[in-house]
Amino acid sequence: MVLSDKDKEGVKKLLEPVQRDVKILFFRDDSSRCQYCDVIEELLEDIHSVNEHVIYEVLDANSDKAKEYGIEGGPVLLFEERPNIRYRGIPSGHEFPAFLDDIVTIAKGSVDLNANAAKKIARIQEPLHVLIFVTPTCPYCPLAVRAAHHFAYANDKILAEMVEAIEWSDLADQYRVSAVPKIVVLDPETGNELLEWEGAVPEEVFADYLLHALEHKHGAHDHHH
Amino acid sequence: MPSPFSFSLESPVLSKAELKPEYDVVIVGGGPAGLATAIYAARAMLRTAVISKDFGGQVLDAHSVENYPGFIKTTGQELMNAFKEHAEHFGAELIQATVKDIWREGDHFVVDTDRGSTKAPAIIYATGSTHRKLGVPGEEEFLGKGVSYCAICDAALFQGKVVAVVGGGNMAFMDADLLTQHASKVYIIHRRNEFRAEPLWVERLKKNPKVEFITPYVVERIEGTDKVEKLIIKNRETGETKELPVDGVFIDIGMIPQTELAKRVGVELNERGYIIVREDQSTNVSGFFAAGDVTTGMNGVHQIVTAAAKGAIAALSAYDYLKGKGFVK
Repeated sequence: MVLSDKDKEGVKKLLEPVQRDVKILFFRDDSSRCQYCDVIEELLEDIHSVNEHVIYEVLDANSDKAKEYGIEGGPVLLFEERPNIRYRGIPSGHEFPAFLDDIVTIAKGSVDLNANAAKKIARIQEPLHVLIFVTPTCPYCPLAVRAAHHFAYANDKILAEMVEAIEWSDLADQYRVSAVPKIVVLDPETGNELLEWEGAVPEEVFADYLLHALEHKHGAHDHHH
Repeated sequence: MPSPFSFSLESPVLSKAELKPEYDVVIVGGGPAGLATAIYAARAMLRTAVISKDFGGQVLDAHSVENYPGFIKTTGQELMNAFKEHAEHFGAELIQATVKDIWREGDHFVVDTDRGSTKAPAIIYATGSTHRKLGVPGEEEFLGKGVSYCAICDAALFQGKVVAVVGGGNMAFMDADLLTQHASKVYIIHRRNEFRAEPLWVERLKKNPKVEFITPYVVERIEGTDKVEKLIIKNRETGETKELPVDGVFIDIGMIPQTELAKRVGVELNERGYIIVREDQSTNVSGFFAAGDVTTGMNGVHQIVTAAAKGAIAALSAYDYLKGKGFVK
């Protein structure tokens, strides 16, 4: 048990709108980046214990099932009916409310986006891969995670992954992360970096950046950042 | 402080409340001044909204608060959660949004945000301040590549590394203290030999073997190739310049008041850019009050306790104003 009884009460209250099943798949790889894997499993069990609609399955991050989702190595959490909303690493500290928010969003089946941001996100017709690097102690990071996850909910062309930079330090090094939140937008077909920035920006600005990223993909040369 | 093994239930940035079309008072800014204002306004039974991009403000960056009365040691996050819960308990609505503009329309102010518009006959402006930049070459270039303004966010990314903190106030010392939990070496670079930080902080860090003080020095340049590799620092007494190899630099040299929207409604600022307030926290614009770090009313003491106190005064002044004008009974 990782949640105290008091926390469980709080989680139960926050998850009251969850009245139908939401299934979480947890891909773990015991040989790699697994310092919090057991904590993640306990967390999922604790959440399930306060709301039986939140169900989970633990899978091998190197299995065929993982490959179906394009996963190579864990830990990765995703929502079975919205597999484009993901957490690489533990959704703890300040990210925990963002994780609960995702569960509620999926159960309710609707997302509350800023109207201008919603219009911009609807214009994205090609796949984009968004990595949001965070640390659990960063108070501002959930804002970026929530925005990206809401965008992914609204438009399944967007794959949005929170990346906990300590567990995924190899990925954090690859993308030169030394301040969070750091957002990296990739072309999922080539793996090329299209755009990156630091900081939690308002939803509408975030949506603009994603449109910029698409322009970069098409060779426009207006250099941003 | 949240860690991999702690699970916050309250987020300073994720709030569910929806903006209503009208309030008695709109508080702009959700730091200690804004949230304390909200407690007093809500208890005056004013229909109260606090609109802010986060709830907690700069206090969220403080990993260790040891001078707020009644709490020997807490974190900025925990203290601000308590403020937030307290304000909501008495009915204040906390709206997470970015305020884009404020203007007067008849006897009301209209507040336009990225989550819709609202109006109120009184505004309490408590937007606080933002990080002051060093303004030296390399600072912009290496932002997010070793230059940071948020130790609580980024300290864990400097495990075993050498870092510098620039500044001599409480926040610089607090950040240096936090960084010693991760970095192998922490320099504190300050322009003077004296510090504004509480002597208790200075004593504590002087005893910490990971900390080295470099005074009276200023940073002239931040250099590196892809990321920060060294600082060029200059002794203010001798003029001597030297290189200091570091992996990261945390900048805590003070704050700039955020007055942009207040200026648009004609609020007067002093020569240093702070909103001029009277003892009752009113400004030159009728119905527009201000509190906390954004104002001249702090006597240079930019603390949680002073911000909260000024918020209480602002709320009760706004209440008197609304009653006097017949907006509320």
